[in-house]
Amino acid sequence: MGSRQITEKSLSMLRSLPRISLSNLRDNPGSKKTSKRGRAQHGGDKHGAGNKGSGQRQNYMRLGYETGNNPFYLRVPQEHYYRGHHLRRQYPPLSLLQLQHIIDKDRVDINKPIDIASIVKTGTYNFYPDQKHFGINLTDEGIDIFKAKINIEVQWASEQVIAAIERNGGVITTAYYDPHSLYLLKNPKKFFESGQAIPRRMIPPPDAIEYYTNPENRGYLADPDKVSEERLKLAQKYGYQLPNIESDPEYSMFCERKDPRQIFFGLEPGWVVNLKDKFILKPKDEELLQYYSA
Amino acid sequence: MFRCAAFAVRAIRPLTIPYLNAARIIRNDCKSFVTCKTILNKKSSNPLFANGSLSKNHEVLTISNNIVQVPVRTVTKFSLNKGKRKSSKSVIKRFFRLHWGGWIRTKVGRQKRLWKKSAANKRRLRQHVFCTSTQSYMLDKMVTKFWRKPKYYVDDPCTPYHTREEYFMTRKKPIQRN
Repeated sequence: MGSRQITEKSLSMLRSLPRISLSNLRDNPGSKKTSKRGRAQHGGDKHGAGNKGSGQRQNYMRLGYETGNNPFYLRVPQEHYYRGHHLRRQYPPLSLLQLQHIIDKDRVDINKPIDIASIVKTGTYNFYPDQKHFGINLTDEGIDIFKAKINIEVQWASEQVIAAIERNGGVITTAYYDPHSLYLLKNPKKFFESGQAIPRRMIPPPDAIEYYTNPENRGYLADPDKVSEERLKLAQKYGYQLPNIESDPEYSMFCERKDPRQIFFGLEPGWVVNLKDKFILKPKDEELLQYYSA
Repeated sequence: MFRCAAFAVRAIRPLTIPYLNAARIIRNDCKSFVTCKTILNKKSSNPLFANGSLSKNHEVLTISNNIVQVPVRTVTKFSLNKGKRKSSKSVIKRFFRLHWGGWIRTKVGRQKRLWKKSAANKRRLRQHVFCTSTQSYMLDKMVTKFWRKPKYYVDDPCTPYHTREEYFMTRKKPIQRN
């Protein structure tokens, strides 16, 4: 019998059968196994619990317990690898390779300054401010094939990464965002829909101020003159010719930085964005202006 | 004494009070009027609790005075407050988890009788070593999800060890063949 005949036969059978309903639905035969404990001559032997001892008594010992031995997890000397973990800041990494991929696939516009909001918007990077993630750590993987010319703002970058970006004629800044502003940057739409005024960005905590005021790290609180000096020094250290960005046609774009109190590009603290009617409300009260500029 | 009473209450629980409110009643932490009422009713209706007869019972007193403190030093599967799993603190104090799933530890006896150990032995004791796969599997179970998540510290000395690309089970990137 061919497969077509089988199909036709089963279809004709189906046609003659009553429709499936709750009243005639049942499990496949043998799909359910009732757990019965046999009590007859051989069924009543061990019930799968084995012969003699701890197993027979179904004594499930606590994790790590070694029946009287000094357990392995207590034998090892204390080291406190995780001391102070609740205070340490985490920076989930983004490699230069990933960044190059994002740019090659045109998922981010390099004719504008790139910040964490635009990178999150590409969908290739994610972070959780509530898990003490404080933004992007740009890592050196794929450093040799990185060729893009960008103005990027990250939260942490190593010296090689800074050199790789500046060699291509780009600009990099490391900037601190407090967890609340990171929430806004992660999902700006959600925040704008809430109808609140954009808050100020907080200044870094005491232990981070040193990093973000250091021109070697291209910190956003560093003196711009010293930063340009350090750019030259780094070029000499790694032995490349520093491209002249002053003569670049997009010089104004490469000069764009956020204010230390600013969270979004083009939006100032205190403004309220109305997404529905597409307008921005700006504060006019002297007191408010003073508060948001301070 | 209190410990004993708590055990007694827990033992009686299935007969007298609904299971859902058990933890709340043991703590006597009544947040709604409903639970408050049930506690009062149950207490008055139960002869064991009437005028504190259980707490003055001779047998109970003798047992409670002879309780030996059994150290419980492993995972809590259901916490009293929220019914959640808890990490074993002693594991967190002694071991460190790498992102690929391995755990590292110090060597046993690294501070003991150093005067009679050779320089090479002392050097070996100073090192941090991997736990075996069975041990790592057990340690994974002894801690909560929080500790199993990777931690992205920027100045982590273990950074080169967090990936293990040379082994097929822990490799993340595809193999590059030329």
